[in-house]
Amino acid sequence: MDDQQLIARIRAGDPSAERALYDAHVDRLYRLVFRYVGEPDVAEDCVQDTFIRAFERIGDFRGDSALGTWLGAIAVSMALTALRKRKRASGREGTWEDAEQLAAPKPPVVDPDLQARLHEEIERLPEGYRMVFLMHDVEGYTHEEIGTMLGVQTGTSKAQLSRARARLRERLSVFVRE
Amino acid sequence: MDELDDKLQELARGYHEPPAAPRDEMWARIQARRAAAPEAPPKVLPFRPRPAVPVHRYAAWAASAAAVLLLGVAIGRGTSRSPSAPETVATASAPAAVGAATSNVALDAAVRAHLRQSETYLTLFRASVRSGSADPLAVSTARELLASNRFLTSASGTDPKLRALLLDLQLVLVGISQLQAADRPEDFRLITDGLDDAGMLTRLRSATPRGARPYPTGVI
Repeated sequence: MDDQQLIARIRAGDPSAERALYDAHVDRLYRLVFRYVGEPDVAEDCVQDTFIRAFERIGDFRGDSALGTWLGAIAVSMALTALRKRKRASGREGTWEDAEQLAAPKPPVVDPDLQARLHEEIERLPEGYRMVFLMHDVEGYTHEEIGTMLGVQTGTSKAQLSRARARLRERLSVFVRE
Repeated sequence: MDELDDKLQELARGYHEPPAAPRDEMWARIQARRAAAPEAPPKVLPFRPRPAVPVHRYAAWAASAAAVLLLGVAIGRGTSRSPSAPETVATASAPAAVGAATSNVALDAAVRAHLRQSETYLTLFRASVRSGSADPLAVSTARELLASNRFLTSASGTDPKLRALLLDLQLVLVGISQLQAADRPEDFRLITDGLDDAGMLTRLRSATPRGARPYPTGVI
């Protein structure tokens, strides 16, 4: 069954179609959201909110993008909101606009393991860089999909990825040579 | 992309590595929240995301269980009026028969809605006990469900097979509703072990076909 048939059945009130849509997309969305928020409870809430919103708004889906991309856009929005709330609660606000801002240097890392160091540096990336890096280099989304999900131009997605990689290289190149 | 980028990309795959998605638990919570929400919220209302911390995971259940109880009360009122109006029955037997049939349909719908809610609730409860995060609201929700269960069990006209299932379910709900927040995790686990041993969730699923809406449109 393709996306359009599934949507038609959901709009007609067929609950089994809702479950089919859920089964088809839940794993991918959960992976994406979890990569970004890193906490099972928050990720589960975001994914639940995504599907509840999607079922409410399925009538608004016009098919301009793939159904998975549309769902991904909702999930990303939920994840960003959850993360911003968490940062606000911890007094560390991070926004898309601070993507150009350099993160302050941290004290030397005790653990010399490259992977652990990399994960810390990913954590410290500005929000926009981190999202694009995780979506493209880790989860394998295309720049077109990322652009649609994040509501930015494809070129912006490419630029963010390039800057994220450069930042990571800069922070880790010395470490790698050791 | 050079060698370093490749290496970083490979190592980055371990960043926030996702576990398997808890599909059934999340689906159960989605269904619970949708069942507790209005059927069709006005589109003009802005979307308000839930709090990131799922403290009130069971709160939707309390509302949902209350809705079934209200339905049950409505049915009870409908069925209790019949014996007190014999003259109406004598003079208009056909409409009375239609009324009784409607009551039975409504009662059946209420029982099935209750069983579906209980199934989802118990799935959620079992998952929270297994993850060691049993919510105090789980106990209060069990009490709400228990109130509905007792009412539906006592209603005349309930299908005997469903009534037997309701009675077994009642025992489980009584067990949960008597738990205290300070109880040991073992006490919670005893309940979930009992659930598994009795095949309660399987029986509930069999009694409530997948995809059926908890409330038939227009019943309330």
